[in-house]
Amino acid sequence: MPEQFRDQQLEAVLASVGRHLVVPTGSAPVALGQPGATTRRPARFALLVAAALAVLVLVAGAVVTPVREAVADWLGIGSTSIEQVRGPAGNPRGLPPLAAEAVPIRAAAARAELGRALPMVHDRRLGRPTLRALPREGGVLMVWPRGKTTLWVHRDAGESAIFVKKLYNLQRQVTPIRGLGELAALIDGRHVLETPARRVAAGRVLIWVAGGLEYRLESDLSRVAMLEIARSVTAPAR
Amino acid sequence: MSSARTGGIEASKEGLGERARAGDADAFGDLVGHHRPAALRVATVVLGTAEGADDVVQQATERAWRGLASYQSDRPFAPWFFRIVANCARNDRRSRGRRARLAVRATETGATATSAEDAVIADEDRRRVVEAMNRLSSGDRLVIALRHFEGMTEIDMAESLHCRIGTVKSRLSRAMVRLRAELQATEVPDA
Repeated sequence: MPEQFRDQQLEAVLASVGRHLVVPTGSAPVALGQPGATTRRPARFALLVAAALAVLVLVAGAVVTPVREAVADWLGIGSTSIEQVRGPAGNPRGLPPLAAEAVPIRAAAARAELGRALPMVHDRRLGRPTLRALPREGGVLMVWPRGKTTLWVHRDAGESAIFVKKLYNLQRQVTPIRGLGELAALIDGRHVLETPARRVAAGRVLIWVAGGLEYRLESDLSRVAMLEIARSVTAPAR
Repeated sequence: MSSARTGGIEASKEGLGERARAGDADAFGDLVGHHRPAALRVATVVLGTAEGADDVVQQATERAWRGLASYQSDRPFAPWFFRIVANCARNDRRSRGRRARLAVRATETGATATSAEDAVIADEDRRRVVEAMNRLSSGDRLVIALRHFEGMTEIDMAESLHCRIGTVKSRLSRAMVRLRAELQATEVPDA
């Protein structure tokens, strides 16, 4: 029977695994523009995205199907990290909603914040948003009374901009979603949204990344309704 | 305790970090180039495969360049960069819903071991451990890799994982418990 590793032995073996780990070899050329500027993605990545989108188009028309796969205790959607935690860290009791302290803004200001025109939500049950606002974390928050629905949109600037965490307690509370944007997940039930500025309470939330923007839809409406609303969102080209 | 692997260029000592943050592409390239082998390991571990790790590191490099404003030049470069690498790897479609296929190189017959420690560690032991790691989540693999492959301190791991030091401790502890459980599960009882 293989000998069980003692602590120091296991650590030594792990360090050795690191030195022997099979990784790609060779150096890749790095083409950089001005720092802080948006650079064009490499052609190979664009082809991968195009291929993925082509697959989505082929299966379009079907209802977006949640993927009931095992979710690791840690998932990333754009600049949002979704983590399962224990105890009060994931308890939203007494916390304000995301819209708290948000400042109403006009369309021009919303456009300036996003760097382009605001995405449109074409779902009839919602209609036009009753409010556009700037939350403390930036981006643009759209608000509808129906289902207490909010849609928070911000630029997909990756790790250099907003880096927020969604903290939840219960297992199986998070469901990756296929067929919506480049990456998507549904978080069911109350949880905590932790930003660099504060902790806020969150309910059922659907988040996804598409076309250089990150979306966070929160609502009391059903999951199916939320998915339909999300699919109705269109964003003007940059 | 494994020895630290993050020797060599330190951004704060050489002034490379400040120059990179100021837009010096050469300084940025030096930093990225120095940390590239480790970045490939981090990407590989999170992806669960070496396939595509170079694409992920390339993407992370571009994101890091665009996001230099968030890099504190008086801090080591590696934790900040590895956080971006890990996030890019997590978001890569290849990391979704697939069993990990990490692999280790076998020691060639007659070849000199890369270190004194490697000389006494058998290929079979490395293979057992990496197979057990393949059954862990990407989060567990990452925290183990940052600590034991890259020799990072808890402070640096907290920065890479964007969490508190206490959370680093608990996540690493849980990951090691799960690793041991997987190792025990593969042991064949005596006939």
